[in-house]
Amino acid sequence: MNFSTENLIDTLNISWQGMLTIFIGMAIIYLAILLLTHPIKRKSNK
Amino acid sequence: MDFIDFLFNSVNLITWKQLVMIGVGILLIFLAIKKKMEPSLLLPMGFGAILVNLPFSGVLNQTLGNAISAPGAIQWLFEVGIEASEIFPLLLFIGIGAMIDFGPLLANPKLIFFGAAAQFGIFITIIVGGFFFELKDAAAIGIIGAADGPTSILVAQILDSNYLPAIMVAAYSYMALVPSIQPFAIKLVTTKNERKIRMPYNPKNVSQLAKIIFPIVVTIVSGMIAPASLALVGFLMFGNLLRECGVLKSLSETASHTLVNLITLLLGITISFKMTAADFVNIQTLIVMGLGLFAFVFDTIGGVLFAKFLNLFSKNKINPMIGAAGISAFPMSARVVQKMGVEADPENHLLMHAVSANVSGQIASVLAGGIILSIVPLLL
Repeated sequence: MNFSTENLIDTLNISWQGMLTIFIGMAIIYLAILLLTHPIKRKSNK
Repeated sequence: MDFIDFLFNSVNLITWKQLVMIGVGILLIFLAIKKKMEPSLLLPMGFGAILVNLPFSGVLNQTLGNAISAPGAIQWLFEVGIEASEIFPLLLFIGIGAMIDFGPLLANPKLIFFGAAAQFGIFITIIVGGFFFELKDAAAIGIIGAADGPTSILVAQILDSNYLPAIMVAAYSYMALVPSIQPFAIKLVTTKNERKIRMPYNPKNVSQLAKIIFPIVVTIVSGMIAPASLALVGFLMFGNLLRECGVLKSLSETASHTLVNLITLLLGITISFKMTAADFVNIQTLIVMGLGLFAFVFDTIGGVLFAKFLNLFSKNKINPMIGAAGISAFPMSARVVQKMGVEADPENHLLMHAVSANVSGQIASVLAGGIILSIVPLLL
C-alpha cells in the first residue's frame, strides 16, 4: 500500500481535470464536425 | 571449468522465476493459437518471453567471459524502437489511422461524447491505483483503460513506469477479452428492456472534403488542448488523411497492411524485453492486472451510465449499450453491442451507432493518453 493524502489529492485532480478536458476536446471536435457537414448538407438540399 | 559444468551451466543457473516466465510465455502462445486471443501480439510476446528468460540469453546484452560485450537483438530493438523515441507504437498509429473510417461518426456526430464518457475507467483506476502505487505508476496503470495497446506502451514508457511489462500484457490481454468483459459489465448496469431500445439509423452522405478536413481539425484541436497528445493523435490522423485524401492509395494500403503487420511483428517481440523474471514475477504484477480489469469494467460502466443520463433529458432514447462501445477496442466493442442488441431483440440492429461511438473512442483514448502526459509530470 502506498496511501498518502497528497497522492489521493493528486489522483483526484488528474481525474477531474482529465475527464473535463476530454469532454471539452470532444465538444470542440463535435462543433467542428457540425461546421464541416452543415454547409454541405444545405448545398445538397438545393 | 570442466566439460560437464560448461554443458549444464545454464541449466544450473535457471531460477524458479525464470521458469514461471517461460510458463507465462507458453501460456501466451497457447492463448494466441488455441483461443485466437490477439495472436499477432500475444504470440510474439510469448515467444519473446521465453527468449529473454533463458539464462545468458543472447537476445539481451551480455558480457562474455570477462571482457567481450555482445549486443542483444531484442534489447537493441527495445532501446531504439521504444525507449529512445517510442517510434514503434507511433508508427502503428499511422496504420491504425489508415484503417479507420470516421464516416459513421461524421454522419452522427453526437455519439462522439460516448468516446469521452467511456474513458471514465482510466481516471477511476488512477484514483484506486494511487492507494497502491506512486503517482506516475498509478497514471500509467490507469491508461490500460484506454483499451489501446500502443497508447498504454507510450504513456507507461514516457512516465518511466516500473510496471511497463505488466501494463503491456494487461492492455493487450484485456483487449482480446473485450467480448467476455463487456457483456458482463453491461448487464451489471442495464435491464433487458433498456437493451431492447431501438435506434433508427438514417445514413447520411458525408463529403470527401469533410473526411479530409476532419483529421486536420482533430489534430489542431488536440494540439491546442493537450500538446502532449500530438504524437499520438497526429500519427493516427496522418494515417487517416492518407486514407481519405484519395491521391495516395498505395501509401494508404501500405500503411494499413504492410506497415501494421511489420510493426506489430516487431512490437510484440520487442516488448518482451521487459518480461524478464526480475521485472515481472512479483505481487505488483497481479495488482496491475487486477487494476487493468477494473479499468475496462469501469470504462464500460461509465459509457453506459452516461447514455442513461442523457436518456433522462432526451425524447429519442439511446440504447445505453451504445455508451459501452465508446472504448477504443475497435471493432470488437461495436460487435459486442450489436450482438447483445440482437440477443435482447432480434430486430434491434445497433451496429452503425456502435461503430460511431467506437471510432470516437479511438480519438478519446489517445487524447486521454496525451492529457495524462500533460498533467502528471506537473505533479511529480
